[in-house]
Amino acid sequence: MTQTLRQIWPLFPGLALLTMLFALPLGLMLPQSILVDGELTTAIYREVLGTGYYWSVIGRSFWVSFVATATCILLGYPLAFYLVRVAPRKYKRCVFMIVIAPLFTSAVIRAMAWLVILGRRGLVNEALLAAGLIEEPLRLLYSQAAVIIGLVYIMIPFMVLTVAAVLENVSKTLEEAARDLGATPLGAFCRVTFPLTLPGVLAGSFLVFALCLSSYVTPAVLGGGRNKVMAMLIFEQFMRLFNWHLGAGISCVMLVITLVSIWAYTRAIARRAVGGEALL
Amino acid sequence: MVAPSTAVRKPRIGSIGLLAVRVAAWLVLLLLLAPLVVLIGASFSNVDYVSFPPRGFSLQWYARFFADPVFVNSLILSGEIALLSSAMATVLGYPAAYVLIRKRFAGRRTAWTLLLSPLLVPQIILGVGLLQVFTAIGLATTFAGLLLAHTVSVVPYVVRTVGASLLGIDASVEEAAADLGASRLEVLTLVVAPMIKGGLLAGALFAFIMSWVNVEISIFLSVTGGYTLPVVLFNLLEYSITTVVVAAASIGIYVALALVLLVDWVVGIDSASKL
Repeated sequence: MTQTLRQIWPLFPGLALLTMLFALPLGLMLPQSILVDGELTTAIYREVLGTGYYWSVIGRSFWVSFVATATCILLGYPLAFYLVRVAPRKYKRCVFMIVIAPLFTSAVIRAMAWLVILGRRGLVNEALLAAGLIEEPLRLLYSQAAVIIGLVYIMIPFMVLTVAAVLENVSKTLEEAARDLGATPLGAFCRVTFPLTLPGVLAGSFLVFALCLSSYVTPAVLGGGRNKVMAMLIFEQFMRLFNWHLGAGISCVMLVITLVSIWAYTRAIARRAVGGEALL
Repeated sequence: MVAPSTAVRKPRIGSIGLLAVRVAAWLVLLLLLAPLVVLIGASFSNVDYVSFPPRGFSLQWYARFFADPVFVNSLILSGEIALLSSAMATVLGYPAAYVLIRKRFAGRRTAWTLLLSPLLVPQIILGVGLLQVFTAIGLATTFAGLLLAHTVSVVPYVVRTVGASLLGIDASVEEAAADLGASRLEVLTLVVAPMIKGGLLAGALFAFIMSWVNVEISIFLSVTGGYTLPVVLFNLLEYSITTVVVAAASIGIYVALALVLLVDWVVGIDSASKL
């Protein structure tokens, strides 16, 4: 025992910090949501899951995250394929930089860019007005579509990088073999390469879905008050209405959904890897 | 007359399909880049309402930014927090990653999961939880509270990056050093650290960046009236977006581009794909 302790003590400072300032604050959510005025109750959950308003917010969160994830697959897959298989060596670095640069920019700034593009005097409206297609600026912002566009923009790099990592490990020779055996280029891709990259697509989807579902900044900036999602509800309950019980209840619901999604992500990305190492 | 040879080598991927992939990929790359370019373009406008294409050309909004103590202080606060939290995350995360990679012991998987988990749980919930804990122990609205919160959220980047590079080096060197009488601390600082310099640097850089861009935790943790730059921008957006706010955001983009070049120069940009 003391032998082991002597071996592993360098782990403790980090572990202590994470226990006190990660496990504890998250762990406090559950008791806050089931202990109201000193009594054990499921009232909060009955309220969250039994009120039409909360359901509509949860439903919207799911729908928006689902559409954004599907769009990310459609836009991210070709780029990942290009990055790994098609791009000439000298372009690769440049492509990587373009994919990574948005990740190094705050979500607020990335949402703000869409305010400029979709705003009343923004790029889209100015272009449509100049082309004479519309007479008055369209109201594009503060809509569900604007939230989805903003989320897709934030999430594309995650999808591209996850799919690309899997595609890296799919041997090109398999596709060549299929071609030599008479498959058309499209057939070889659809029946050989694509199925082999499916774990990457799945992993990327679960990751993106979890990140979409829990994002706060993008929907808050682009969605406005009428397009509330779960994260905005949590913020509102804790910071504006001071209903910590309800806030904690919604937090627990969100935690469960994202953890299931993340668990599916780790399963998809590395079936054989053990525990946390899957995340290396 | 010779019949055209049927033995021509088939192209590996159909040329039409290849063209389609190229076009689709470059359109998506354009989509990734365009919003940043639009924002920078709009920051040079000479009217205060936001417009793109920009009206005229001026640098006045950048001058406003640097003349406004709220902006300048938030820029400094963001920089300080990112620098200190990435340093703390490295000091805490590197030894932890070392033990987790090299030693086998009960509870190892739980420790792994705990150290990487801040990546996986919704930041907004962590932020609100930290606010509650800090309020209870008197750290709310303090610099130390914000710093600790950021450290917790960026430790995983160090653990993951350093862990990956530890897997790539031979443990026998450390054993030899220990046999020759080096203490655990000496092994970590004098033997292993120089061997995984790249991984340590990459981990610290990623931690710095992730602290620098963070909004969803910082939003709950002001420092006696001051906020980090992304939170200041977020709060301003609640009212209306003006060109000075766009200029402030553009400064964030310039920093991001500089960080991309720095990462590429120090560890190669493709290593950031493991973020």
